[in-house]
Amino acid sequence: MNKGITLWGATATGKTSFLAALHTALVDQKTDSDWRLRGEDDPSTQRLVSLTHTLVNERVFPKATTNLQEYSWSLVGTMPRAIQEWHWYGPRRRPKNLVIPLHVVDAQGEVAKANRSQGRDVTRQFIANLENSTGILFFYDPVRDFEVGDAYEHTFGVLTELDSQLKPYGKLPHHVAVCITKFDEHRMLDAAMRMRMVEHDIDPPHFPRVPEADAREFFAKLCRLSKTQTAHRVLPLLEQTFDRSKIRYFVSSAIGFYVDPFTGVFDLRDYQQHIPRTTPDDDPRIRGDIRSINVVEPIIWLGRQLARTAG
Amino acid sequence: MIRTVGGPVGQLRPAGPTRPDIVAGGAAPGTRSALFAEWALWGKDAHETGYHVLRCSKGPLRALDFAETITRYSPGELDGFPQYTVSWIPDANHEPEYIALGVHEVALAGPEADGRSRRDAVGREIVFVRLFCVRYADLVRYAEQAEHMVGYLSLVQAVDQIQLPPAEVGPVALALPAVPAPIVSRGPVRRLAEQVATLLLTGRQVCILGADDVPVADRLRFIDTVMALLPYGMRAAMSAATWAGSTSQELKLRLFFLGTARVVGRLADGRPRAEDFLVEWGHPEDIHVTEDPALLYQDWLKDVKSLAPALLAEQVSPARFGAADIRRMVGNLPRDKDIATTLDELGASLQIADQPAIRRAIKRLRRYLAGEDAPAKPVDDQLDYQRRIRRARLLVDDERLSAALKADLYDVLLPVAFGPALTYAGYCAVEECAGIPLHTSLRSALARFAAADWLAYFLVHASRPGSRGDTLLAGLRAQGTHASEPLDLVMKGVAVQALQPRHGPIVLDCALKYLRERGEDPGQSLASRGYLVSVCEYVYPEAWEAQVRQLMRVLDIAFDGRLTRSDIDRVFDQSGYRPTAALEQAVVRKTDRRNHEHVRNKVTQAIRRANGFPVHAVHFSQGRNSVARLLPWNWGRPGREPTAPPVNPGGLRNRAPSGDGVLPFPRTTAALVLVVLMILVVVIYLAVKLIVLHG
Repeated sequence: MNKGITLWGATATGKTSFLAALHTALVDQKTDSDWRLRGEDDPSTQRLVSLTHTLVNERVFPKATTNLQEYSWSLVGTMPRAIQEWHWYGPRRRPKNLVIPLHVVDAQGEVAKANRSQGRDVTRQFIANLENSTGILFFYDPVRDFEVGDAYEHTFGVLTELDSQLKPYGKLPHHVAVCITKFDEHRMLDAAMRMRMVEHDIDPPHFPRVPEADAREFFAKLCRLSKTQTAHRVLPLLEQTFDRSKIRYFVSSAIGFYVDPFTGVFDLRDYQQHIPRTTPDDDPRIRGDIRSINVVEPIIWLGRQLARTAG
Repeated sequence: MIRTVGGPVGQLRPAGPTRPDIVAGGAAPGTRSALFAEWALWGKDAHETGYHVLRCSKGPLRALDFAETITRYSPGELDGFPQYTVSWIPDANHEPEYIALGVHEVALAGPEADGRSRRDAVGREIVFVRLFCVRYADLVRYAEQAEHMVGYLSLVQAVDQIQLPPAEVGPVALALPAVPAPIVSRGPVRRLAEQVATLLLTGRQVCILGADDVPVADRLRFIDTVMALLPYGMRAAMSAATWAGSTSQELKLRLFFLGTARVVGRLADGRPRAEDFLVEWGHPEDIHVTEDPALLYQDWLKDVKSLAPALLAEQVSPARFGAADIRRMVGNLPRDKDIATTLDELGASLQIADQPAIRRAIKRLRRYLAGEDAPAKPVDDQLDYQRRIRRARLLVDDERLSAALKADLYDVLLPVAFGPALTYAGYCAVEECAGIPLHTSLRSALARFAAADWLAYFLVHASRPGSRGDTLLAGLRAQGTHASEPLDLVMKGVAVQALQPRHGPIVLDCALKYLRERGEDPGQSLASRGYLVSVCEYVYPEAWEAQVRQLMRVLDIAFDGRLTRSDIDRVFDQSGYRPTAALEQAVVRKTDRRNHEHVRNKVTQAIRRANGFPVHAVHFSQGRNSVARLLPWNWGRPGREPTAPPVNPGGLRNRAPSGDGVLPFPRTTAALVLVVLMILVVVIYLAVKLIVLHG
């Protein structure tokens, strides 16, 4: 396994939007590491620019992915006080620059469909990508599952084939970041609040969050609301197939909540960032500035696992 | 405009790969067949989020086949519509059956909207693909009847306005334009197309950069032009796109336009991906290819120039881009002039040393030779080529030509007229054409040419400039040739008088070298072949001294050192050949003076034997009578029953002691005789005494 990270999830679960928000989210992060995203070749850099521009500047969602797209990016950051040096006046620590190669494969959601409506070739290619990945970003959109209910359909077929391809392993060795997406949707926030799983950031704009400790439970509860009554099997299926210690759950949003630029704080009465279209030919729009939630965290966690695997 | 064909599928449709149950009849003879296409619409409805086949024709191809083709040959992320892809669908035996034309587009807006939604359930733009699949055989049949080939542009023109029916019905009829869409015939784009056609024959993907501002119709015309420069049959397995995404992981397209070059990455399963050939639009700089088929094709293209599309349009057999198909295709490139004409032209060009014309002829002949499928040239044809070569003095040394050009020339002439491998007869014919001795360039070319038999091999390699004996024999060793096989070939040549005496010394020398090096018992081998007396007599008919020297060498190989009586007996006691004076002289020179008389006697006996006389017959002049022969000191002398040659076990040569006849030790014999006589005298004395005593 040396291929980096593969994105996996049903259609329209927010995979490409997640990538489009990543660069900005890293710029906005408030950590000492100063992680940033860098393109490693021309096509990947252009794609990074184009995705970010579409989401942040044009404030529209990026186009749906076609087949399988691969991007060669790097997480570039600084580890503060990582290197110890000795001087005449005693020890001194200085920061260390880190570059974690991030080979990302973004797959069209339909390729994971169990009925292989996209043809055998592309599905086989997708499974091969998962097989050769160290990290998997698994996307679950509770809203979509409530309306369509196809999460399980997009999960079990792929997992069964992947399991079959990696026979010598007991549990599959991948690191899996499960992203419960579209937290900015009011139904999601309402549900989280009703479940009493919401905390607010200390720093402005005081966004509500589901803490990572509660994310798994939140995911489990949301899965029970699936339209087809099958999504409750997604969580046990993931945990049976992958090592539990290598799965982390994140409740995320690529676009975040709307924040009034004048007040600069989250307002529970006016936080809807996503403006649905009014006519069939309209573009759905993003109302305000992009303020991603839990976009950086899964990527950095997987990036560290990649770096550790590569030695 | 909606054109559909309902009910049974058109007349051109045999059973398909995926629905063998659907069978249709053939076209009525004499009628011009319409061209029908199976179709599919790929996209999504307004309430959906995932792409799938929205609807498709009822026919041999099913929805899954269409989906497979669309996703397999997907160009990835597209900017600007429409874009076009061409691809192919194999039959059940994985041979090309359909060519597929995909129109990637978004739904029209406003009053021209055709009922398709522009946005999906989450508001994302929907990119539709209208896929039209035409059976390749139908396309060829149509083209034959229409008397012009159908290109991609014509197909696009035919399908462009076809809006697919809302329900699943039969194939749609294509109204192809009466006049085929023109391809690019000159200028930098044409030169670029020629280069791209060459690059496609390397088997690698070709990517064209810098065409962002070129209209899609021109990009499609360019693809059409490229394919017009290749045999039409290669369209049966061609895949190309007027645009593709640079970040697509595995593009299955052979030719595509990109905004940014793809990086050398890895495939989904981790294997490294072959690097694309990058070509800049509008910059037809010289390309560098190393693959032989591509180079040969490039030469051919330069040769035929603008005639290429016309010559290639008739080559309609489906062909894939695999190495074997490409080699076959290059070998079967249409030839503008036959070999005989080319040879005659070459003769005329050589007379005036027109080097460009000579080079063109060489390239043409090289293409003939590259045709692996071409049946071996009949003997009569090759004899005709040899006559033409002799008459035009094509193999005669011409100092006006450079060594490299001569090498190229001979490298094609030899296989054409004397191929596929050089026989001994072919070598003789080469000498007739070029004159004796062969000049250096020709000898070098002959050495590069494969030899069909050992005689030709010896002659070619022994006379090659700078040749060495050890490397010469290495070829035989590598083949595992038996030690005496070359010798037998020489003897056979001599027996039927096919071997030219002037070649004898070379081939005999090589055969003997090989025998000496590889033979386990060369003495036995040479003995059974009469010590090559007849060969030497044939090879050196007028040179007695040369014969003697060669026979001395033969005896050197057969026996160690000076010849003993036993060796001499062995040489002359062989039946089946008649000793010659040269052999006698060789033996005499190889033995001591005291054996010379023995040699003469053995020669006499051998000649008697060869003439059918008994070996014991004695000449009156010989003087030694039968009584004398009974004396012990005459035992072992000539005139006695010849002794058998000593058996030579274990490969040791001539280890038997000298005088190994019946009584090899005369003194001991004499002593024994004396003892016997004395005993006899004593017995007689005792007997006489007994008689006397007893009265």
